[in-house]
Amino acid sequence: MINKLYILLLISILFITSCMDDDSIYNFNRLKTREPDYGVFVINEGNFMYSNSSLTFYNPKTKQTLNNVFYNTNALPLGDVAQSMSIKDSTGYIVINNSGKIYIINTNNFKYTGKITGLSSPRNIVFINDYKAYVSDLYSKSLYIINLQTNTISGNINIKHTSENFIKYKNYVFTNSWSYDNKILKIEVTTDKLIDSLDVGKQPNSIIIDKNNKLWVLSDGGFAGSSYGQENAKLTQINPENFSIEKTFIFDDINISPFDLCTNKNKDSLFFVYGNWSATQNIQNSGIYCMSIDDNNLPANPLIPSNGANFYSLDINPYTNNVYVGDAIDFNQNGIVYIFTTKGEAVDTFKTGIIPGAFCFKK
Amino acid sequence: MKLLQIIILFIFIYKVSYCQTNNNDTIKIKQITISDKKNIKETSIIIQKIDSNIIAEETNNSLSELLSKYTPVFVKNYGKTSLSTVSIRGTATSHTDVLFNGISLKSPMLGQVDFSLIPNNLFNNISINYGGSSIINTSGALGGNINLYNKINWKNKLSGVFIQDIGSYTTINSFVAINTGIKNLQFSTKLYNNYSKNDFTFKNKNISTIDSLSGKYIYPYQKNKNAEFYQNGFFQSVNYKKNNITLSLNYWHQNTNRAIPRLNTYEGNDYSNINKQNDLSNNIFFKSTYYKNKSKINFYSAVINKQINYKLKNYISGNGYYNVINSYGVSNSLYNKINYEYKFSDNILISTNYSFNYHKVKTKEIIQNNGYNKIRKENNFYISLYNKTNNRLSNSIIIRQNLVDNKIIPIIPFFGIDYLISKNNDLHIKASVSKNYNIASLNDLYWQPGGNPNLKPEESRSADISLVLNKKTNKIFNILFSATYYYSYINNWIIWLPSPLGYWSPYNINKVKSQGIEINAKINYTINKIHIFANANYSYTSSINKGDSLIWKDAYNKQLPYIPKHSGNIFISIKYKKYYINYIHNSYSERYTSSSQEISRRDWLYPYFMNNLSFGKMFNIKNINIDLKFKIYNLFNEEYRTVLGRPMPRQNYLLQIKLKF
Repeated sequence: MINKLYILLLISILFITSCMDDDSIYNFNRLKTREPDYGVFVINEGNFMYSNSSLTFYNPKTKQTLNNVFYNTNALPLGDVAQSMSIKDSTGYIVINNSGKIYIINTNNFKYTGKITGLSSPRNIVFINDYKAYVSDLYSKSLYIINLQTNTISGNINIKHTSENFIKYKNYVFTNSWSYDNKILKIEVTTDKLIDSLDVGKQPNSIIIDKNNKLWVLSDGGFAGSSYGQENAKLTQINPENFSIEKTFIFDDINISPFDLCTNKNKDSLFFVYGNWSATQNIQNSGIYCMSIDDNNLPANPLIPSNGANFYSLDINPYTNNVYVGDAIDFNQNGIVYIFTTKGEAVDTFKTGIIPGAFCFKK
Repeated sequence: MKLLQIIILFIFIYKVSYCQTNNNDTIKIKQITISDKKNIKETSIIIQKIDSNIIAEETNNSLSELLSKYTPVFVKNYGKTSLSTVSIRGTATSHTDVLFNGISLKSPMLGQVDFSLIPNNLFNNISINYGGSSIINTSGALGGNINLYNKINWKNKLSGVFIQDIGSYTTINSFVAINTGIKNLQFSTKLYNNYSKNDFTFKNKNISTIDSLSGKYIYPYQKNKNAEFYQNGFFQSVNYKKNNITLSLNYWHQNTNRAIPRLNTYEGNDYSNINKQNDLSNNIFFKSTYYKNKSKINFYSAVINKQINYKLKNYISGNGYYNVINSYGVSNSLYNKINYEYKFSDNILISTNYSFNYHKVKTKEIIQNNGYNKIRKENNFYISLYNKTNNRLSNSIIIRQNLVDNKIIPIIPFFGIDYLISKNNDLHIKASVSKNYNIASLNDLYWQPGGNPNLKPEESRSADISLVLNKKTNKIFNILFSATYYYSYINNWIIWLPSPLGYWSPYNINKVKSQGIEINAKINYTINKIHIFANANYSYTSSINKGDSLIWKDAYNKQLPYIPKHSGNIFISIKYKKYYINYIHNSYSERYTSSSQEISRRDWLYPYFMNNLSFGKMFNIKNINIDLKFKIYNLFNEEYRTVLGRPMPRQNYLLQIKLKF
């Protein structure tokens, strides 16, 4: 008899429906929009291993912000640690580092149109022509070659070092090998070959090109206690033609770890940021610094002092010439972006997703 | 027949009503259990003893599963057999200590215990001291501490247990214990081996491909890859007793290999992002007790060796596999404690101890060659006085003074009282106030890169008041009920924050006000050969960020991430002749994944309701007692997540056979 009761009990269970609402994560009215051809994307990293990175769209004319546009449009999370975004025509390529993929979206309505998968730890994408792009990798000692027609990996370039940002110049692509390294690498795009490398200060974290076609590299110098060693941060000017160093500026305090070197619309000024990042440092004058490409000294005082904010990212809108600064606050709540003129006057402020880490400017 | 119908009805009604009252602030739970004899040391302490029925139900499972299903302890679970962090009273994992026979199992390197690595079947006695009540056992357990004991059966001559599990997703667990002994000497040997491939299938709602014709999204069905768990262990115990001396020597070896599955947003190289962790531990525990008239001396000594190896592997076509991270951590600890107790009378007891702990920790990350090598010495002093003023009132005073590397940690005091309101119902009111300090772990201080050697200890001030009822009407009905309100304020709470330079650092930047209510009930009821045991918990936890509002901005005054406000569980066990059925329900309200309680569907961790059922039959073949059990996990076949990006298994099964002689 008992056995029959067990069966009865089991059958009765089958008629009981579940009550956790898991489908709500994709069953909702999706965002349908048509945004103008200009605007600013903020790539929010989110928390490592939380899969909560997100995309914010800001319209500088109306000063309106749309947060979480990728998820709200596509009902899919962007992924884990979105790193960067680049636009080719009206197509956006969002590189998601810890999800090993690149999402491709229409930048006007945010609809996801494709993806490049099968990567390991991608950081940035650079378009070589209509058919080919390169993707850098934090850990791998080779670049990915992407076929933009099929959105697949078509090959690798063994560069013997890891890679980070890209600068395209003539027939070359330059990349900085940041993590525990000190190299700038020169790759020829027609042959997909590494042709030269140059030693700069330890841990070159960002690279730009100015109006005179000179490369500028900002090296943070590593961190205290690193087996790779720590040295004072450096700013280096490089001639891309003969690939040689023309100028080096050395930061006088070893605790200063500047990052996010960028340039203004005219490409005649350099901007970068540093703050109190390590618990053991005590940096005075943290904030955003600005200097002319012709200056003979590093700037002594910040253009925009951080005043306790957690400046985490910096970039300049090449179309409006405004400075965009991301504040990560406590790294676990929606961040803030402050907009300034290149003279340091406040323009606007808007809320983003968690950890605003990079910007992408649409015409 | 009727009874079973009632049970089914009960489950149904309970479930339906629960689902309907999702966000309701009041959850009513009827409660129940049996009590133990009171020890003067426990009078003003808030302690929860885990019933043997529960330990039996969770045999071959880990301590994290037991805590999550039957106690108010909240467990943040990253998936079956993978890492789990616990929170008592809204605190962090580092604020919960686990003591085995009085010795802390907390890693001096990590400053926490991995609860998913502690198997339940090594212990026959598990209890939890909440909040300040942990000060009686240890310091730094701001949330509370778990006690694991092995009680020795001195009458044993030869006995043994064999347990074999076979479950879904290639889960195979084996456990064998042999106990032999004579009057003064008892040996116990335990061996276990647990394996799970853990490769359940799930519908991945976090990725999709677009159908080229219809434009519709296709969500793939995927296997939970790279999630295997393999653990084996050996436990040997030798116990000796003569006259007024007891000696106990335990050796415990355990080796665990775990793969840590990727997030379900991952679409990278299938051979990349492979995470593996190995945890190896070798422990020796020695305890001797000497009794004389009114005094008792205990001497404890332990050597604990722990090794962790974490690897992250990637793959590059043409280059093959390479390690991206290969990190080792080795800690060697020596614990010594001498405890002296003197009983002036039945009403006054004094207990004092001194302990000296020595930790040596070495970490090394092979790829980048970063690491540290540090030693920590702890000299801890403890004195306590337990005093029964009259028939109704008793009190306890505890004072701890710790020196860490010759630096004085402020005094840790505890004061508690217990008042007997009603003798008939054994109804007590208990109250206590305390202050506690938790020192930063060696990783917090010295981890390369980012460790912060200037960290201060975390400081907690707390108070609680509790009502405890223990009603034994007769042999057929027993109820143990307790309700507690607690308040605690934690200062200098340590949090790790990332930086744009690619590494994290810990800071003493948070202040947390935590308060709440805990209700526990246990019932034993016997009628017409039917024995019913039930255990239920409800807790309300408000754990609020009170840090500097200029720094924390929108997180100020918000509930800490991943701490549910409401949580509750029910365990009902019904035995009828040789048959039994156990029903386990566990639920908690929504959790936030951001510090500012951002509500986004993407980040929503909806209320959690989990139901498990097990049933079986106990019978004898000759002298062998056989218990054959079938367990159904996730009874209602829920599709769910408890953290972001990690799916959980749907309905799954386990068949267990237990032989005992």
